[in-house]
Amino acid sequence: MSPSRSLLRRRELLGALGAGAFLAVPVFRQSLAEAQGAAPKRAIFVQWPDGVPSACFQLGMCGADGLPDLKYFDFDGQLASFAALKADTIILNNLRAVAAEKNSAEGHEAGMASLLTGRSSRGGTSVDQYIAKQVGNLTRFSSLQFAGYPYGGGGPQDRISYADGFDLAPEPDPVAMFEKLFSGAQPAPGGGAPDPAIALRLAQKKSTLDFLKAEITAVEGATGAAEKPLLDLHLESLREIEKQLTQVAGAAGTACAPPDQGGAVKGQYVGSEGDTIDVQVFAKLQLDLLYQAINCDLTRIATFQWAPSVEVQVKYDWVPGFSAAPDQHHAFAHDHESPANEAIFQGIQNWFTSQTAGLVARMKATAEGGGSLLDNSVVMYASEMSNGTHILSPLPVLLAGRGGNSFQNLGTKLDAKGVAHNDLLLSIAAYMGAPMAAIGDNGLSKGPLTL
Amino acid sequence: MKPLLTSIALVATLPLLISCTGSAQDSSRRPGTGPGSNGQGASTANGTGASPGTPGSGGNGTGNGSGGAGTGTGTGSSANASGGNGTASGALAQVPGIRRLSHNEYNHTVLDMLQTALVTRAGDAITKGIADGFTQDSSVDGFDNSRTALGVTPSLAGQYADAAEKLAAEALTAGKLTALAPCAGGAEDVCASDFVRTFGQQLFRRPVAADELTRYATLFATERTRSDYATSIRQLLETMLQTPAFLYRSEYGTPALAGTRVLTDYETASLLSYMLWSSPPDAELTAAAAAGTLATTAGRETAARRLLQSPRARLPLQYFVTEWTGTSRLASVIKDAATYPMFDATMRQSLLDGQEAFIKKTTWDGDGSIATLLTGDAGMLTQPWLLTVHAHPDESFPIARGKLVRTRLLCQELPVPPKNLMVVPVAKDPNATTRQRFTAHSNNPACAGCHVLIDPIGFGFERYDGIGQYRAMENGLPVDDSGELTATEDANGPFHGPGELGTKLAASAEVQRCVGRQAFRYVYGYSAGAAEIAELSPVLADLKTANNNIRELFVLFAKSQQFVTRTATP
Repeated sequence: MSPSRSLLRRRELLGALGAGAFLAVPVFRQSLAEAQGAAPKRAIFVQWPDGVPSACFQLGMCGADGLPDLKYFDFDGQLASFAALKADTIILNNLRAVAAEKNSAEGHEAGMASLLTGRSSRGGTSVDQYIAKQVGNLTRFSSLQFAGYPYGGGGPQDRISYADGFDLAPEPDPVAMFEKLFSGAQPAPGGGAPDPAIALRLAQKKSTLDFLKAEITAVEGATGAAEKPLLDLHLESLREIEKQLTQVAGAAGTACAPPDQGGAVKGQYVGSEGDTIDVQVFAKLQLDLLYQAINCDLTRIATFQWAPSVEVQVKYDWVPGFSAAPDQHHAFAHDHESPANEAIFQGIQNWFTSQTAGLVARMKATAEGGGSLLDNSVVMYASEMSNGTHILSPLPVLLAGRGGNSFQNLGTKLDAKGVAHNDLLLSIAAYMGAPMAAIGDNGLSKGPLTL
Repeated sequence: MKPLLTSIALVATLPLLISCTGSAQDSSRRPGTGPGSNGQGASTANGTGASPGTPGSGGNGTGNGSGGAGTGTGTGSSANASGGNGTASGALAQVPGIRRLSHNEYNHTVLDMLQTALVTRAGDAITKGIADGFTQDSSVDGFDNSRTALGVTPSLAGQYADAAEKLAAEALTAGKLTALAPCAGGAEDVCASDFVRTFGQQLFRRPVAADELTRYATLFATERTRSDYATSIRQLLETMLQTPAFLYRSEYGTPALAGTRVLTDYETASLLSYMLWSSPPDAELTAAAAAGTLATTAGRETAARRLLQSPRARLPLQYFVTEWTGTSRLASVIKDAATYPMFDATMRQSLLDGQEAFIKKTTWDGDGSIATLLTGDAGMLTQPWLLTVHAHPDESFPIARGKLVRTRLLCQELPVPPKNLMVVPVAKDPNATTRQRFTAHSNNPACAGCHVLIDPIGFGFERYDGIGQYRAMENGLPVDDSGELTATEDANGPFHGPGELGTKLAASAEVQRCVGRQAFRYVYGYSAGAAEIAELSPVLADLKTANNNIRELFVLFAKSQQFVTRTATP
């Protein structure tokens, strides 16, 4: 989709929102899990593009094997904005991107294709989707995918989330995401009978979905094995839609106020001409929606992509030194010879990190049970490559969250001893109650890392 | 120019060599423009089982043992505990299947069937469509109508539901349902059944089956218990717009001889119509399907020629050319304002207009030959709209142009830089030409192995800057636009400028075969690598006698037995 097309849609939606065309839902947090007496578990996968600034090369700090040792990826470097959260984090050291190294595609595409799948070719099922299949039924949305940049793109370098071979595009439109999250049927105040018109509409939609599921099954019976994955995906998608219709709000719990529909989204990031986007505001809105989705227990599994690997469209012009050229992020990712360009690249990577740290801090400030929402979460903040010059290993990963207080290495650097990053994905799946014996390419999984 | 390696075999063996792009920006940024896209796209097919492991990665071979830390063969990647990956193992070029409508096809389809105001058309072009905001699809080899990559994800299912709700509501409020499903004095269940039978045939592009009619009767009856007649019809329409019968085009066929399947006449009609109009069959084509004439070569030829004579075929033809040449993204390509301050909305529009006019003149109005495309009006390779896309935001970037010729015009696969090899940009130098800078860079032994295939072609474009403007001088120095084609079957040799390059390529059988392969990917919605060549051999033989006419190429597709034959998977 070209920016102009997505903008067109945005303008239409802004109009629709102004007209109050959808219904707000009061949503309730942690209802199911708290009723069951168990803390909800959440996994958020945040990807930033092109790895860690290559201070290694400038400063002569490369590791013995010639690969960067990510010295800049620490609390006195790129992770400065996480410093106050150090006790809730683990820095992963010496984690290899083996699957990406085996991929025959170029580095950026290979890194993205393998980040959450552990595969050396595009496709498969990423860890977030595997978890969503196991435990996604607990919430209205099995999982959500957010883009931190307002552009489309349908290449291998644009995707991290996969379901049975089909890639899931991150939502590049906060208005659409807002509408998706917070629209639906409104229960009557005091638990009385719902508005009959809305009840009828729900019944009609349910009737349609039942019909469609039967149609898919009929087609599946009439076609061959080759069509099965395509039709199964469709069927799963219909079930997800059905869940979103019927599982609007939890049974009980603390009321969770959605963002103000009048001001939170509408028109904040689109310029007056409708053809410019304030990416900083855009990103804040997306992060806010992600936080609300988690806080309101609309989902427990999410991905957030700061940018494709090879970002050439966003002008990070609030970063000191960034000029008008929109491809500077990627250009400077490749450039470790100019200290000035390196500094600008660091500025952008630091911005991704500070915004992510803001999300994590907000989770920590949100009370849950006797602790915080962050206590029962794991945020995997990772890049698809070590360094934008196509160095893939070691993979830079920061884990934030206490994993339900199950993590033993909080506040430290954990030496992964060169294992494939597949093992880290296994650890997160295990925490989420969706244990996997292996993920990705055969032979790359040795077993979950002890976090 | 120093002697160059010219062996064709080089293309196949290069993955084993050290290489790098020397690129500050991978030209594979956009879908399908990079050499990795082919293999990547084919891999996506693992999900559908349609063509996993196709030889689509072509010259990449198994890509094992490349330099740096790149090791392994990229195989054995199905260990996902979730399973569900494809099962087909062969690289059959023509497997039966169903293919989801692309968003463009969806817009055309609902416009044709519902005359909805939610899609607006100016002339033959859709200027605004209800599908524009749908979740973006993956492109495979540059084409966004890929059968293997397009599925219905949860997000898209929700968007289909919203769109169906809007379309059906509009149809109700616009009073169209009274025309579609009249029921003055009739039995309502009979009226509803008539509606499903008649309008369903349009929506599904085939007659509605008896068992389907029964299911819709139940749906109607259920709704009628709680809603009035019109609302119940709306419920039918809203549902029909989300069924697999509507959202997927079937090329599943029926069993025929020796493990093959043959498309039904209605499936053939849809394939013809979406190929040439991006739209569902019109009444005449549907009538031809009903009469059984599309089962014959002559019937398909007649139909294809009629569709091609309609103005409705022009933009789909343009779509094919722009997707094939990677220039569809002209509308969103970004330039550095400091380097090219004149590149504004007006210039972009002028480039878009120029693109449309050039493609119309060469492929639609004239003899439509590949040679005319490459040489008419100085040739496609000299056109600013093409050169603007195949460039960097702030420079001409000869590597992108060399890759364009190798991968899009010659269908050769290029290797990618080895993993863990630092890929560094070519530094700017106000006292040197772009060519001088890139020459020095590519002389690096680590890079030269591949760049010997790319740069000598790209350098020939150097008198056109990053927005396609002609320049004889750069930084006060004369620009050398000599280039050389190597490692081709029949077009090797030196040239000056993209005009001469176009002339050389225009006579190449390798290029003609490549155009056929690109059309294959467009028509059938997937890439089959080297298997495409075997599938295409009859078409390509006829294409030569048809003066390599691109319009005729689609007629030849329609006439071919492969068009209606599918090889059943085990």
